[in-house]
Amino acid sequence: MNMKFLLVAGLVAALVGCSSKTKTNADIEQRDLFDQSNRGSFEQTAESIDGVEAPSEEELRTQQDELKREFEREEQRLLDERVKLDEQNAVTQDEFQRQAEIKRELLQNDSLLSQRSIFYDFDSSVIKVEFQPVIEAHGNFLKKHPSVRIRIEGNCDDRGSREYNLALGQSRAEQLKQAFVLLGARADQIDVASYGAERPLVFGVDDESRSKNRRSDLVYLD
Amino acid sequence: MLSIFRMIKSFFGIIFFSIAMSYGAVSAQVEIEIIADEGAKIPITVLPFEGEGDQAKLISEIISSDLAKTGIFAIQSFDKSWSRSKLGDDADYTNWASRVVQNLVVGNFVKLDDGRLQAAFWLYDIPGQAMSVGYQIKDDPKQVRQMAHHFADLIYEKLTGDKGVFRTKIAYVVSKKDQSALVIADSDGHNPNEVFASKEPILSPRWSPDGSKIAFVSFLKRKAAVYVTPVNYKKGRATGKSIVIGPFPGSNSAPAWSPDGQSLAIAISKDGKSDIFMISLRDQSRVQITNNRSINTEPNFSHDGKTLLFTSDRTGRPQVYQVPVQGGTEVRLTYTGRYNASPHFSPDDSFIALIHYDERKFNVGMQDMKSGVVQILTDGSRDQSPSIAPNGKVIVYASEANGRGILRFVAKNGRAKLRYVGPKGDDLREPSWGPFIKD
Repeated sequence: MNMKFLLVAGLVAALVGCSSKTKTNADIEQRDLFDQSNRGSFEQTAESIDGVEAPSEEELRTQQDELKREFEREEQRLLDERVKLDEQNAVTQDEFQRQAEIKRELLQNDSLLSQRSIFYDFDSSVIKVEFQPVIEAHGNFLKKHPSVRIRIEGNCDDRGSREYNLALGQSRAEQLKQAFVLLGARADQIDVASYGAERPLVFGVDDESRSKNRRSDLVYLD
Repeated sequence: MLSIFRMIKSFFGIIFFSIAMSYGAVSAQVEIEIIADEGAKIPITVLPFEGEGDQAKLISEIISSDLAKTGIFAIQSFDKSWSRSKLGDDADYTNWASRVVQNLVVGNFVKLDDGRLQAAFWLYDIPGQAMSVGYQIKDDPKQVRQMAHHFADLIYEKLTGDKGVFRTKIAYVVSKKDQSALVIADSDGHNPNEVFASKEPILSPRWSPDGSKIAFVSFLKRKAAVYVTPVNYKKGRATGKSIVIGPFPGSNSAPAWSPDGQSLAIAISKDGKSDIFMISLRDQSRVQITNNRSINTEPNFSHDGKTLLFTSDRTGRPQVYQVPVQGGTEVRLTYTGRYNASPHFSPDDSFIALIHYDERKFNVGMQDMKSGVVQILTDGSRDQSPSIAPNGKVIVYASEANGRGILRFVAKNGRAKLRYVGPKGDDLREPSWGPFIKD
């Protein structure tokens, strides 16, 4: 593209150089080659100055034809570029649609995928049988969409050692990760974290509140 | 003297004092519950110090309060007309004895020309007809509480044979609605200062052995990470920015200082297991101590530096284990109860404090290292995070009252219990008792 521009500019410089000695190359290079008014100026260059022989009419016509073709090529190139950009935009839109599809699938009411918490017994990271269908749904979903990323956050209730709970939450999240990997998800799709007993879902010291805090949360990442 | 105490004697034989401390910065409300038992208490009479204004009264009040809170002193009433100054060579011990005084504390203070306060006290053994301690301090008037704690330390040591911990500091976490803060306060709850605050939770503050740093756990990019913050122990203030140790891949937590202060043992959770590593603070190099497919966390050094306690769930339930610091055979120490965790060695390594679960309640217990006998010290339902005073006589731990986190103190002999309640809306948790002040 730059080479082409220099070629055209050089040609123009040569032609204009014939018509007026006062014009400098720098001035010429700044001219807009696609300005129609500038094109017209080339027609006045068929004069002899300071004894330099003027080019023949045929030569001039050839040069002008060459320039025109150059402009046409440039115009075509710009057109091609626009088409290419439009195509790329279309691809992005496809991607948008695909991601919207993923979101719809994830957010479908009452679907297994809409369940994002797995609950545990006290001091246990064993996945209970009742959560197997939910875990399979998420595992299969991750396998189907390898570009989707998820973070598993392990949590505990408020009883016992905070540090032990931090490790227990980590263990809950890690075991879930292993379950997803066994179902075909890639390990690098899954990040694990533990907040131990530090991020309760429900503030309460009764059994029901505590059972809601012993959980792993599945957080899909954008 | 007792007019500052609101005294309620319940029919359970429990004497309940509530001391409303009206001096110093706004601090945790201190309530003292002293469990009277059959054991004899040491009687002591603390006369108001000679000198002008509130400070004279304050010094003697702090001394009385410090001693009363241990549960091993009986603060005696006195007559306002009694002499408050030093008893001279011609002291009339017979007269003091007739007032049924046994241990007598008198003192005075004066404001010096340079603006400092000069305070002195004398402890008399009336039956022995002798002065047993005399001590004088010159300090900034702002340090008046510390001066009084210093006197209480000296009296405590003289009369019990153990070092006092009245001048030590306690670090704890204050959890508010959207923020956590690491706070240092005097061991009586006064002069609380924030040294670190974060929107992320904070846990496990641990004093370095010389009191110049606090290691703790907070979260960095949603992962637990170990931080170290430099502090001025005497002033109870931060002296620089907190730095992150590592972070090593995975969850980094449960810091414990080696007795030489050169290394931290921490737990690193990764790939479904948690192990204990020794991190050199010089170059952050690490050595793995435990290695098995289970949770291994909460390391704690013995004070001789030779072994580590830790919590492991390798049997399916958390129990306390011991391992040599260079790694090696891991020995299970706890066999009573299904859940034992958060072990801490006593200063002489003769017992460990831990939390113990008996299917209903979590309580702080004490296990003798020789006999293995476990003694439960507390009666809450969710007691946790025990930390032992440097003299080994008191344990501070996190507990709750009306759904709020509070700190409680229990004497190792079970004869005194105190509680600290934070300002409204504040949960106090994760206490860590600092080392002795170096004179």
